Amino acid sequence: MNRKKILCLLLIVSLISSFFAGCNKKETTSSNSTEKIKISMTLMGGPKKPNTWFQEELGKRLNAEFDFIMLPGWEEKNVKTNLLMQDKDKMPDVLWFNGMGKEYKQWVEAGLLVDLIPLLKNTKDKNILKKLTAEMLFPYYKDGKLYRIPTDIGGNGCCMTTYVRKDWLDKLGLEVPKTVDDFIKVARAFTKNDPDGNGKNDTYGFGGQNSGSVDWRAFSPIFYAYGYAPDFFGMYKDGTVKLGATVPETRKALIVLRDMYKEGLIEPTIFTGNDIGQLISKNKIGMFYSWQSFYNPEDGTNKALKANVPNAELLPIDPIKGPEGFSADYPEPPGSWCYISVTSHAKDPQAVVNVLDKMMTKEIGLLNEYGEEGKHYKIENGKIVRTISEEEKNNLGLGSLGWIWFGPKFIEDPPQIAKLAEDRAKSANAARDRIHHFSLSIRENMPTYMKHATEIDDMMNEIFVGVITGQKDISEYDKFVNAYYNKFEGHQIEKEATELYNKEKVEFEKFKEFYDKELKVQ
Amino acid sequence: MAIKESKGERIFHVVNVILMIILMILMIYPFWYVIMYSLSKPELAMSGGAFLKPKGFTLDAYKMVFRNRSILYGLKTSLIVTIGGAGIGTLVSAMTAYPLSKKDMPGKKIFTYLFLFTMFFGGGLVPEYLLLKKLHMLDTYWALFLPGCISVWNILVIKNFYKGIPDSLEESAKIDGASDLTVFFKIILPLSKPILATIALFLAVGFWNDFFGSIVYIFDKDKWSLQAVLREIITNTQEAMTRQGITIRNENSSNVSQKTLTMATIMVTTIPILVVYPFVQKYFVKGTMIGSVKG
Amino acid sequence: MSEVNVLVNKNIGKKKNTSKKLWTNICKYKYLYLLILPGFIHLLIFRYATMYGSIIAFKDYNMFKGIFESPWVGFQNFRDLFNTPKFPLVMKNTLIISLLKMIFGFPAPIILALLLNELKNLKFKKITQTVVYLPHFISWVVFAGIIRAFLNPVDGFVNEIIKVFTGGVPYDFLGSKSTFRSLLVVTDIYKGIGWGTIIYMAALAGVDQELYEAATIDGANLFQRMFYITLPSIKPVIMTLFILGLGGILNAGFEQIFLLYNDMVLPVADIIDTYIYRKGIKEAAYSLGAAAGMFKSVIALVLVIITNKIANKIGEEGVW
Repeated sequence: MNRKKILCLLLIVSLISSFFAGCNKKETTSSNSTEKIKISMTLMGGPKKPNTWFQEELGKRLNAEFDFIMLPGWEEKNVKTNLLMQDKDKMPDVLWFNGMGKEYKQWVEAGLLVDLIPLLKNTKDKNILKKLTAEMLFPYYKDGKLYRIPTDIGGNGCCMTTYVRKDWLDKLGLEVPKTVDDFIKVARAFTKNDPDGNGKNDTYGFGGQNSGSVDWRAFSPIFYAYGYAPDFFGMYKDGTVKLGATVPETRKALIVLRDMYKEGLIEPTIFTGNDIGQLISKNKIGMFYSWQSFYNPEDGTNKALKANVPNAELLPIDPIKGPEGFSADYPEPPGSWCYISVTSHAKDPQAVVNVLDKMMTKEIGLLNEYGEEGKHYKIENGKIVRTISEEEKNNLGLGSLGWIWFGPKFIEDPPQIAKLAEDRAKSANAARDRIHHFSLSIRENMPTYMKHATEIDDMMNEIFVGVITGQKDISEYDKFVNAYYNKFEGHQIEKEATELYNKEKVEFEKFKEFYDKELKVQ
Repeated sequence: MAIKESKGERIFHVVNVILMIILMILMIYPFWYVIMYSLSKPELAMSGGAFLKPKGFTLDAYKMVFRNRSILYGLKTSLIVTIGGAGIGTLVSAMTAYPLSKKDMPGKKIFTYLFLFTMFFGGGLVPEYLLLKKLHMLDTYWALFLPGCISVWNILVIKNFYKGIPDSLEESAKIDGASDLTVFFKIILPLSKPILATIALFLAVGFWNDFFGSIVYIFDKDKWSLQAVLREIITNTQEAMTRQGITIRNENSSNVSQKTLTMATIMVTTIPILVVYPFVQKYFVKGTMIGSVKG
Repeated sequence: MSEVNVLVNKNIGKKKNTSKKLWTNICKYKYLYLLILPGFIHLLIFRYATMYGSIIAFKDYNMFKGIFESPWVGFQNFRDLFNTPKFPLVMKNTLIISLLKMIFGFPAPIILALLLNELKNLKFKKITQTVVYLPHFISWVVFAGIIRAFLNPVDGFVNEIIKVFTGGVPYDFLGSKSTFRSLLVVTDIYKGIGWGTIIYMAALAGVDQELYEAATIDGANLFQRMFYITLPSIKPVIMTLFILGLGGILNAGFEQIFLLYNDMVLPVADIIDTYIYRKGIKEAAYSLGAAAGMFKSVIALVLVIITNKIANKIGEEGVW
């Protein structure tokens, strides 16, 4: 009996110890002091393939050994990033991230990130500083320190436009809409006069993207004609910064949209979720507000539309004018939607930043996008022509630096696209003047607003959608404004926003001075 | 047996068969949709619809899937994890469930509650990550199936199945001098084939479909599971849709074909696990238990 | 033997003897302990060794300080959770959707299993079984796309039929408050019914065939056999799944709802999980998530224990 007891015990012990076997193994880090610096970095864009030709070639050219850590999809990338950052051994030297405002604060507090200002200043060519303007850096500069730099910078700060189906306009003999009234007229004709000529009443004048929750950007033509977008903070006439949803102009825009919906001019899935590319290519929608890239003949949506309707033509137009003559396009916030930081895991942060700086060149940009000349692309009449397939491109790992690289331009956009970008940058400026864009786009800086953001958004979406679709009376809108001020501390939010606006205006001037003196590269 | 059916019974059988046929058509449809989508020409498929037949026809998406190196690596991982996880999980669950089905074993209640508690409470991701790191299991296949192979739900279901096994069988074996171990392995396990096959199927499907473990615990991307690889293709598609317009360049954009590629990948990753069920069905033959008891 | 032991020990009534009795009992069951050992060790290592993580519900958790270093806040996270303006609404929605899914979704696979069980052609039965479980393998992301393709009011398949047959206006299934919950229940059953049937099919395999034969000879018809033989034989499995299923009462199906809901149906479709998710994204209120998780777990545990007690009391076989 006793022996068996001991056997039992032994079994337990051996089982447990086998689980923990290897715990005592010390990790042996090879401390070969070659001159090549090891850099681990997280990647989100690109083909996300490990150990590719590109990774090796990049290392060769920059005299570094790269370890690319691929972040998973959008749903899980934050989880992965958090796990990496809380593990001192696995922390990447260079971290790519987006969103994660709260975590970012915690990283800074915990001393996990490195101040980049002195490091950037000490680089040889200052490629990064050459690209980053004071406006781009300011939102991320705090208390004399800069712990992240924006990447994947668009450059012109605007990327959306109103589209009209040119072929439909021509067929019905209509002019390009210039005002809200024109817009409604065209939408009505597109809906009711059978612009696709199939004899069925199956088209809509106006439609837009909704991926889960209503995207007010899709309604920009109307809202910006009246001056303010519902989900943006902007400087109002009276000198306070207000949430766009709460100003009287937005109420007027709502009524216009309500009447349009009532007439059946608005495609209804704009409220319940859809795939705008699908609706466009199905020949259902006459006007919509979306990315400038749709204009590109090689764009997927454009191609699919052409496959379906060979003579279809998407025409980007200037923003329509409201009753007061105001017009604007959606202003993309300055800076960027994603960033890179250097972490305390980097043994020699200066060396890491030096490599990053060397990365932001035309040479590496070409390598990242096209590979090696002669091998993967050739130059014909001054144009770059790929000689490999899309698939080979992925297998080589080209594009891995997708959302990290932001060096100088090495390929000219086709003239019509370049012009579109230029035009929209101008038309977006009208809104940019009203909509304050420094830290207001980083809403963590407005504590009272942050406290109620979900409730305000939910209520706004519910009531706005209700009013437009006719399920709710316009008086519900007034109830929303009322609740905003009385229930969700709207006055306090405005006070904070206005103070922030004024404070940052001053701070920005100071920063600009500092920037011009210390950081600006001539 | 030649027992006459009543009229009502005959009508029932006919209606039942018709009902099942309708049900089958309904149930096969989502699959059909995915297959037809995957076979369609990308630029035509983009305009959506019901996909009763492919729009255009091309095998390009499948060609691309099979040329993708990571799919093969993913298949290897998924096979190891699925077989390992389902095998170990089923065996250990079956073993654990047996003592819990015994009424008079001292401590049974404590064990039951200890297990039950973990059905609802857990430590979350970070402690598990730290544990696996301590056990040196990060970046190994173990991390993908060892933590998840035992589920309390499975144990309780198996336990209740055991209860349906007549006590007389065990008692007579014990009188013949068999120990609890012998009874378990020689009598209980063979009699529980239907439920064990079912649990093995549940575990196998669960492990096969898991992508989160790979994403979180595996740094070497060549060790990612098939579903993790698949998921990345899908999310990359969505990303192409939501973020497009950030960069405008006049060149071939690949996002047209991404959706058909996604559908093809779904087919490729789903079919291997589908064939498991017919094998499991073998154990669902009626009278398995009683037959073996008598035999 | 043990009965005698118990009696003897009770008569003597000494502690020493009780422990001795316990020990003999334990020795008697030593092989059973051996059987439970691997599972138990797994439990200790992978469940209890990490259990300390759940204390973050009572902390102002900062991942980079670590679980132990983050400051305690007592029940503050729970107060915050219960005080969020929408908590009553989302709690109500969660319960309604979950109960609807239970009422209609729980019996569905049982009925299907009974019907499948009556199929005489074995090959047809096997094929049907395999086909009905297919939708389980289509992820909600793809499934939601299919649902949209069918139900959208612009050119959805179902609405085209409505237009042709009734000449009526297309119906916006996804944007209608009155039908959205039904849509959730129906699509949930559609996707899960075949999969749910498997376990009942396994249970049906264990039913004694002689019972049927005897009943048939006694003149019981098909429906009587179904009610008096088949159902009672799989009742333990039904009870187990029902009681364990109650543990999921506060999980109304995050993924499904998240992919299908929209602002028009938010008042009827917003559940605890979706609300907390939005709060997490918009307000970075992560502690709420931990508190909500703990809240749901406590409710689930209590519910399961109580129903099990009730089941045992009224003479039914509970889960344990």
